[in-house]
Amino acid sequence: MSRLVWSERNFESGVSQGVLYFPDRSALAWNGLTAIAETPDGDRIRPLYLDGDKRVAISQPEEFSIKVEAFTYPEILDNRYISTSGMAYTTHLNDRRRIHLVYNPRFTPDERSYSSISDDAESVTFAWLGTTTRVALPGYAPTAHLVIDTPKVKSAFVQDVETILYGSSTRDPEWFPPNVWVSAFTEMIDNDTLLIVDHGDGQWTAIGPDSMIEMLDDDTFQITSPTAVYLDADTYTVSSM
Amino acid sequence: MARLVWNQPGERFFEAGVDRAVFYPPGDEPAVWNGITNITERAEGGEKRAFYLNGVKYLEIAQNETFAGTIEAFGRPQGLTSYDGMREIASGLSVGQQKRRPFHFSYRTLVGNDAQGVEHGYKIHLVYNALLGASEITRSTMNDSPEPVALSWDFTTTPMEIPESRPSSHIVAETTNPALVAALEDIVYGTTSTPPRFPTIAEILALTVI
Repeated sequence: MSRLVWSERNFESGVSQGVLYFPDRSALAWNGLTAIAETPDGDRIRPLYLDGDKRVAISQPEEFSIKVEAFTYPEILDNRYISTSGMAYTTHLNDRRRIHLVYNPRFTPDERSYSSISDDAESVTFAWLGTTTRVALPGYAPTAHLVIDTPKVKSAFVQDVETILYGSSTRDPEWFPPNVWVSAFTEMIDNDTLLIVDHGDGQWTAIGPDSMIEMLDDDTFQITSPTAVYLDADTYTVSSM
Repeated sequence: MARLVWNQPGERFFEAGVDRAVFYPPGDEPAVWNGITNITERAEGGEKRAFYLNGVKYLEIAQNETFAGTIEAFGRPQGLTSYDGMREIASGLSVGQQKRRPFHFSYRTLVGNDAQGVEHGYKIHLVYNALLGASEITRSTMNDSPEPVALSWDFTTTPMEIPESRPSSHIVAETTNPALVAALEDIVYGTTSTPPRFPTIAEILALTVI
């Protein structure tokens, strides 16, 4: 037992590594990102009264939106009808990193103001409001915002996560729905296990430690897993474990 | 009998500061809340309604009010995000837009006077059933003058029944009753032999008869 002590001095700061993901499975780094404001939409706490006094406060479902400010941006955002699958960015708590995943943001550009160049030239700051559509997540309220707190996760798994989100010399960046991340975290954090993600279009992704998935060359890989079973010399099945 | 006198030495009181905040999640261990920079207290409701008769104000009634406020901080206890619309569904992975849940918290404000300054005394504030509203967080790129993100939450509360009083969610104990405050601090901050916990209204009322 001990008396409470106020000693830790934590603070959050910074934003970096913005990435946009598109439905065609392409991804673009967002250079020049200067600020992101996270805005849960609406203060939806509904009080219920009985005999003149407040008895219960019920929180209503809330939407999530972000306001993004940047010195520059991927040109594709000039198309106002472009839809995105998601956006990732990183924030910092002391020396810890948090990776934020925002689902289905639809960006609307804010007012732009261009001024004559003076002796004190300033860069134009662009801004967008990104409204999101929540995604169903079995067992939880639908969500459009996931946060990965990297110090709580094995460093090897963080590397896997970053390889998925940012790509590597051998694979492109990828964007997964929330339920895939939930499966990945619940299944892989304690055990070095394999996760197979079926994209539903004939393509699939295997996520796992290097001991299970090895790239033999740029186009050839080898999966070593008890769930990989040969049906014949050219056909096999593989599933998550 | 004596004529009223103003500003006697030692009677020039003022209030200042906020510190020693503690977050009490129901059913879970309390945690100190470091980094709080401001707590703004305000009443919700309480509007006055005037009634007129023959063109003259006949009656004025104050509406019921509840305690609400704003918390500003550089940091937050790790468990608070579960009460701020996030839920950790696996170690290291949290999801947003989840149900907000009520919690309790306490903090201390200082009472000073001209003789002792802010060492004169303090108040322990206990806030019951606080529910955080949705709040915006702005994160900016690091530059040569890094600044911590300013976190801010508006909260509302649901009052508790208090015998012989109107329901309330804000209890204040002041060092004008040192025995009460000492006993309360042993409960809310813990001792070397007992863990900290948030007291019930009945417990606090029992302390007042010490």
